[in-house]
Amino acid sequence: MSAGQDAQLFDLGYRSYDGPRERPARAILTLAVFTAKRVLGLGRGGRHKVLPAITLVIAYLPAFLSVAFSALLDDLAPDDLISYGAYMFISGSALALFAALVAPEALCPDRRSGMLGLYLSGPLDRTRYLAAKGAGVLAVMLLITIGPLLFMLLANTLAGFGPSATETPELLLQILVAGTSTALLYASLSMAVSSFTTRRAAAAVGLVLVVSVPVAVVRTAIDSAGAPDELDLFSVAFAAGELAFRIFGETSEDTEPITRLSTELVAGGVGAAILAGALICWLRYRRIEAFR
Amino acid sequence: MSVVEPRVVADGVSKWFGPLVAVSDVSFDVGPGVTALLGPNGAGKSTMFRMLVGLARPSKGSVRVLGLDPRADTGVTRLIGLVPQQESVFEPLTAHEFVTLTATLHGLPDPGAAATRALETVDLDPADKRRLPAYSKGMRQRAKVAQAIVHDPSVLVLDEPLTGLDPRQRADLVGLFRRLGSEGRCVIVSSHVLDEVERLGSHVLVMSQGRLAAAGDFRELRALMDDRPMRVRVRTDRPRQLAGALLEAGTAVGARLDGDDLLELDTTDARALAHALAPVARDRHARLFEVLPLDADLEGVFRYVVQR
Amino acid sequence: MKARSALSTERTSGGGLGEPGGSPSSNPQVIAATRPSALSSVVAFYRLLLRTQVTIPRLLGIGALGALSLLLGVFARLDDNSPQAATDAISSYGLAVLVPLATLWLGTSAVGDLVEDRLLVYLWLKPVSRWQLPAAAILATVSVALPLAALPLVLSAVIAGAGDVAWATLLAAPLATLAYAGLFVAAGLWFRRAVWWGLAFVLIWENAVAYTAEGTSRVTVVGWASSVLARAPGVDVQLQAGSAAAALVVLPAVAIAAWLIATWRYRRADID
Repeated sequence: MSAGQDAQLFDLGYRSYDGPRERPARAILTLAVFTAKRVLGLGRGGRHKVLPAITLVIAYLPAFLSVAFSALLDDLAPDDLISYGAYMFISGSALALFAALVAPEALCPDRRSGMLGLYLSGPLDRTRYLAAKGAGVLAVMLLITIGPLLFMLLANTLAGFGPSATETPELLLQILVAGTSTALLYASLSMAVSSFTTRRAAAAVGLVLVVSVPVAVVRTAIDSAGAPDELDLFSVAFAAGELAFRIFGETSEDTEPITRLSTELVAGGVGAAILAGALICWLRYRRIEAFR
Repeated sequence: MSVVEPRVVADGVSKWFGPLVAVSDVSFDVGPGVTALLGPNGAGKSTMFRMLVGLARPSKGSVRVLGLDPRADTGVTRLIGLVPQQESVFEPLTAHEFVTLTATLHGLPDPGAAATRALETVDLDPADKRRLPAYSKGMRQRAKVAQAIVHDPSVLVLDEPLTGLDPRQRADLVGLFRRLGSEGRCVIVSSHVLDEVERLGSHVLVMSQGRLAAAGDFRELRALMDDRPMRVRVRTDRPRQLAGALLEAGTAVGARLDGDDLLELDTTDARALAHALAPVARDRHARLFEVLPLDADLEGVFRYVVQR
Repeated sequence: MKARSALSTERTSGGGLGEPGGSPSSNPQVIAATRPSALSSVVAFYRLLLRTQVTIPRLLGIGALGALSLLLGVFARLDDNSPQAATDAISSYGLAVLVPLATLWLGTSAVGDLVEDRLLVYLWLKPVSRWQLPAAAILATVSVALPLAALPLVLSAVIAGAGDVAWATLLAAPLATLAYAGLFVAAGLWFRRAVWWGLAFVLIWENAVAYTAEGTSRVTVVGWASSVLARAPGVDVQLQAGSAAAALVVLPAVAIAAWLIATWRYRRADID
């Protein structure tokens, strides 16, 4: 650099960064936010928002309809409305559909395009990468497990069907627990399935099979072959729905085997499924070669 | 027997995708021989190629290949060969199976033999049992060229056909394309490797920002670039004296000295400079060791055209 | 035809680049076939799509799901009312889950994978009629789904000792496979994310909307397939769209209509 009294020439070439660096937690948060935005099509063109929007509409539709009926029909009694537990149960198809969109979109393109290698070349190791992706997927799943229930709570309260002021905190907690456990279950399973393939389509179909196939097999085994009712815990979607009923203190009108199991067993089954899915995903990613 | 001369005619062709105009009002008429379609990334070359072979429908205007609409008439595809830009290949197939499939779908009576000949033409082993994903990038590219030529097309459209090839392979393929062009086929090729394109031939189409920026022999195009002086490098033992004399005579409009023996001249009349250089050097007792046009090549034309 | 007259005067060769130094106008031999025969090109497409569809993961996955139905047959045999138990298993698992999802996975990927991988260009730029690729895709999908998904359902009924149910399934499952194959191949050509749309169709339309009202089952494949299953004497099937005879017409008609739509779409598509 040459300089007179006041004149200076500055070096505009490459210089290394010597300032403070963020912690890996910041990288995890950044990737989680990016993942959630990507899955919802935010920050991307209009056509990337179509599927997430449609899925959200499908997921919220029962809530909208319930609120609409309660607003339009004067002679509706509180018992005529969809209960919170029942809502979690009937939105099972929408949950599976949403999960089939979210986790494959979050995980598969990174491996197919080679981005996984780029991520792992920075402060993210495989565990942190999965934690970030899991957080992003979970955040999006919570949109349709907790969101519609909060919407219903608000609408019911405004319509006079809501809980009292003293009951509201408990109900909010129930919504949080039921919604989070269901979201965790679907996030965990869908990430586990997505870890086996780089194609979103295969992962989506795989998730739906994991959710739907055990139901038919297990229930036939129980009904026809006299298998123990505990086997119905493999019907993870129904287990999550039944757990939601128990959390809200409601009773399912179903007569399926899962309804005859204790709350501890149902909760344990759902918890085990969540852990199994997370473990499978983590073990798969430990072995994946991250290059193209 | 009358023969339809291989020609590709684009007439006022435009293509837009919503608000994005990829190709805007492009017209040209390309006949037998090799024509290079050049342009920077995003110029619309690949979109134009897709319309030329009927893969995409023009939003406006028309494309005619051998007098027919390639979009409407599937029959004309029999005489078109395409090497697309994308690198993906059919994963379960070997190169021979890939080319045989093309030959079969073109109705060749002996697809296997035709595939063997085409693969040998591009220096690939027809008996290789490896599947295409196991091939190197250059081998996959050559397999793509083989499937484009197996049915002896009259019109060949090659989108970046030299990608991934080593210099020897590029030279071999350039030779093949020249031969195909000299045999009367209409060969349109795009490439970023301008010195290779120069060896293919001198007829170019230059696209920039979706529009046709230039068409014709690139040497004639250079001569048309009269708002940009041509640069000539002269190595001499008396650069200052030579520069002064040429500037004074108006033959050169600018001069730069580099070291003791190198002179770069700018001139708007290359022919006049060529005629004046030797006499002026003699008068100034200057010896000339090298006289080299610096931007009369294709790259110079390309840079000028796309930067306007 | 104008195109043929223009092309038939062109120089051609019998088998590609043969003679060094030859020129288009000097080769007197006309191409032996102005176009390949429809059969040969459909066969060529069919064989290609079969090879791209039949991957080890798909074979194992769908095969395992088909094998599960055999297990259900064993369970049904242990039931007091084996024919009804077999019918329930075939209805709730076979026709509602196995057949649609297996066909979805295969059908959407038949052409959908080619679109996603940008390989369709190699099949488009050929002198063949556009209906041939969708037809080959449907045939390839059915060829794989039938033995892996539909046939095990028949065997499960046989294992359960429900012969009449087996005969009904022998008709219901393939018809359902054909209809779904047509729909999902068309979806693969129409939608970018065809699998998701197919899942929405199966989960929401076929498995939820179909049960909401009596009339809605008439616009579902599973409703008509169940109608065929209900032909077995002495069993109850929850979902019935109409008569079995009508189903024999409706389900193939669905496949044909889907094929026509796929052809129309393919003809008009810009190929990447």
